[in-house]
Amino acid sequence: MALLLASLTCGARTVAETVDPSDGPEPVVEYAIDARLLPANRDLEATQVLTWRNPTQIAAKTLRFHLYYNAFRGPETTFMREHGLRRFKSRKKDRERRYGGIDILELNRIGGENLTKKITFMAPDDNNENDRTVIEVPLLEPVAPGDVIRLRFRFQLKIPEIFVRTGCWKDFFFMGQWFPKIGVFQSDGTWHCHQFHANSEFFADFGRYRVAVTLPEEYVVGATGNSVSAVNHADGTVTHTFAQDRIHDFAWTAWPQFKQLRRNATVPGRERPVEVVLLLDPQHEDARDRYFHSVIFAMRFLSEKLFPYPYDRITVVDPPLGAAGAMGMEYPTLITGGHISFLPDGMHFTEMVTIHEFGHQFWYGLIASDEFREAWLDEGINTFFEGEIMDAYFKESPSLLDWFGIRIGDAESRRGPLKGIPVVERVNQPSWHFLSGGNYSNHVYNRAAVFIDTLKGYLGKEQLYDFFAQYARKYAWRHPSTHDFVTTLNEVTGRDLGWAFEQFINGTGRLDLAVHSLSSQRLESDPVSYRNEVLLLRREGFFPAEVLIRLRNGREVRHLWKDPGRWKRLEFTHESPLHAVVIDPEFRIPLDHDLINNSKTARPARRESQGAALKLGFLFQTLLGMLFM
Amino acid sequence: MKAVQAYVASFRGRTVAVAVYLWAAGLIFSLPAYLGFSRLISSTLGDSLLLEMTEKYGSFTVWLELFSRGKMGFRLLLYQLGVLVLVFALFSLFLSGGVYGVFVSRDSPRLFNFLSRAWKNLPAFFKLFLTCWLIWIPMLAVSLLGFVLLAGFLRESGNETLFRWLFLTWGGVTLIMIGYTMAVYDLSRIRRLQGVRGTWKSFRSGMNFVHRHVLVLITLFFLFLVPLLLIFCLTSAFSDIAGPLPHIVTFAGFQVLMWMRYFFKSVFMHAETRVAGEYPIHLPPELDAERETDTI
Repeated sequence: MALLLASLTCGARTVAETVDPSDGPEPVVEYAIDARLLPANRDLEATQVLTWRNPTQIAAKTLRFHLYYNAFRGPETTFMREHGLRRFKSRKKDRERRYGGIDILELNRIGGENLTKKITFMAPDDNNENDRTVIEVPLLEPVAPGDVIRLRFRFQLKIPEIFVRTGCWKDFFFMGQWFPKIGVFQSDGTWHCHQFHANSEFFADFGRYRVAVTLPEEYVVGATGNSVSAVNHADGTVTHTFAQDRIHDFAWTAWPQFKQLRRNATVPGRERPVEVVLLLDPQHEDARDRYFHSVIFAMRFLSEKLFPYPYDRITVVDPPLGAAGAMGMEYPTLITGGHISFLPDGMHFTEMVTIHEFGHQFWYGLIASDEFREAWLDEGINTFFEGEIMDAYFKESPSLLDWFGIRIGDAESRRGPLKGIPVVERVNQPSWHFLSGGNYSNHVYNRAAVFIDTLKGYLGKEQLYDFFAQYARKYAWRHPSTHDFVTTLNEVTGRDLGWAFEQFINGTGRLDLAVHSLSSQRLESDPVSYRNEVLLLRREGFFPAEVLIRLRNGREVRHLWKDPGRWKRLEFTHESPLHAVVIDPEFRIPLDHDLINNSKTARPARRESQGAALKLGFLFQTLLGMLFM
Repeated sequence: MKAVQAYVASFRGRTVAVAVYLWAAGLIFSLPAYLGFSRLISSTLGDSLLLEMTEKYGSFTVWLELFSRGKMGFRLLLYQLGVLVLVFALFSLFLSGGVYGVFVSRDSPRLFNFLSRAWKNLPAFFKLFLTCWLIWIPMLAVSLLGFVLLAGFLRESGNETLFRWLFLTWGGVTLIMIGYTMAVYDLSRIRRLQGVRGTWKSFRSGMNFVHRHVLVLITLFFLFLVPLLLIFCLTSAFSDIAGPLPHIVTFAGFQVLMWMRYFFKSVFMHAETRVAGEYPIHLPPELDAERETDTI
């Protein structure tokens, strides 16, 4: 493994161009939060000073904020409804445990009006009056373009038992989406401030965060950013302060049982190493190296291919199994992994989650596209890179599963869920518009990743990686859209690839290329010759494809089928008849959803199918043998 | 020692013959699977080279395509095979009558004898099969309850370390219960053939034997397990190399391995009857240990 890690830094490739935080636009927000956790009651009390700069040319007459925590207020919130959790445990004891929420006790404009009573709840997406995850506050004095407003909040949280991302389990706390968060004021004067949906994630402006958390001294704390101080108090509490610039969210965790481990990782393009902090469940000692190696490998991989990871620290949280709801999530400079100790080592779940969540540091954390409306730009791209990194990390063995003869690669596993899609939707659409959570993840994660994999086959790995490097460097800290992605892709490749996006990302097209027929007719000639004919079909969609024609004498001919049209007839005369035709013989088009019709042979040999049937038949015979009593 | 002696002495011609009958029965019941899968895969693939492209696509992708395209066909075939499994499980009752009948009577293992003994023993064995549900149902209930409690424990405590040990304990207890109940089933049938009259007496006699001679039976079981593990390794190794071989050779190789499994199963069953013959029949005092003349 050490060799593997070293190989990335000792290769002949040039180090990626550094992207400096100061290259990005000016920060829009500054949060200074003082919070006190009361673990016994599952309460949190906090004050927050928010400084917001109007980045547009239009005066802001109102302000809108996310109160994400109110998604857990009760069964009728939009989040709960969309999750299908209306009938969440109805007993009072369970309700108290399962539900939570956030209350704004006071909101003041510093040096100005008291805004507390002016807070109104709104539901801009679905008019659900039971949903309180968005508030609006009108201002007596609008915030002029470029001007700054400072607000002081006093709020409290009731922390629910964790089942999705945030909450507590016994004395374990994971706090995500826990503070009042201002929406994004757009250049047209409207607010981008959506409700908390089951399928959506988050979108916010970059800024500066400084958060102080006070809690009993036995707690081990991890958070976004760098640790500034830890001050002990006479009452047995400690105040941990963390700070970070150029981020757009802040999460933290606390658990007395965490084992805190640190390693320094050299990263291509950085002078200083990155500190990797691992907060490990002590029962998961066997996962220590798995976490460290995989996160460092991912960090080096992406730093080399895109640009060097710009922050000084990354914190990896290993949630206990009882808090599995916290597993597999990303926040700026902090990720949650996932490890189940009784899974066999051949199941690479721990590495997959760690590598995936670290990848988000770039797509979600640094490039930061709109996860509400164009989630594929984060999840789809990240899922593609997860496959690339996992396959590079595991090299010799299948990257996702290698257990008792069951071998599945990470990238290979993407196509599986696509087979079960009940209806094909647009990948590029608001997250809450999808038919279901399953359809959302199948499209936004898997279909998008398979599409990018297909682009890789079409453009070549080097050109695709070159594009991603240029795209990432150009749009770090700039919230690009699908339009920006496609425009940059066209510029870098020198081609117009809009047709592919219109079909498979912005449209509901599927791709199915097929060999319809092949035939060979012997001609009356001397020497013997055959008129060979191949008919290819585009049953659905369009994508250029290589076609391999194999003749019976062993000769092979390759043809690039790129002209538009729903079918193509290839005719040629040759001394040998046809043996077989294969569309996309190198499997560069994984988006093709039916591979059975990609090939046809003139004389089915049946050997392979009989071999497969033999194995299945023997399995059955063995089962019968075991049942004999 | 008695167990080892009985085991070694069971490597006889009659055991070989019995194993052939069992293997043949298993093969006949498996033919629908062989033919069904062959037909289904061929019809799903048609003239496609999907299987030949396994190296490019990956075996997961290939099987995914196959099962997706032939979904209805595979589902139907699996239902049919599921029914076949149930039928075979009941048919094995019949076969076991022949197996134990030949071994207990030490009669000729000719096919006619085997089948006629199987037929004559069927009513008694069927009754014993039903009676043994008195111990199988509690076994299943205890195991299932244990599993539910274990899952609840893990959910509430999150103690993975303790969970691992508890899970192993649960697994061990479940295996012991299975071993115990199967031993009672086997010995009940043997005692029935050795002259204990009546289903309930046979059952109690068999249970008594198991309670009294635990070590002997455990020894027999391990003597049975070791060659099975060896056959498992041989099967895995053969599967790995079978690819380029002609299908008829592969099929023949699989059948040899299958016959070996049945052979060692037959040795085990033969050894059980020998061991049972070494010890007197015991019944609880309230039950009468009358024997009927062995006319079976």
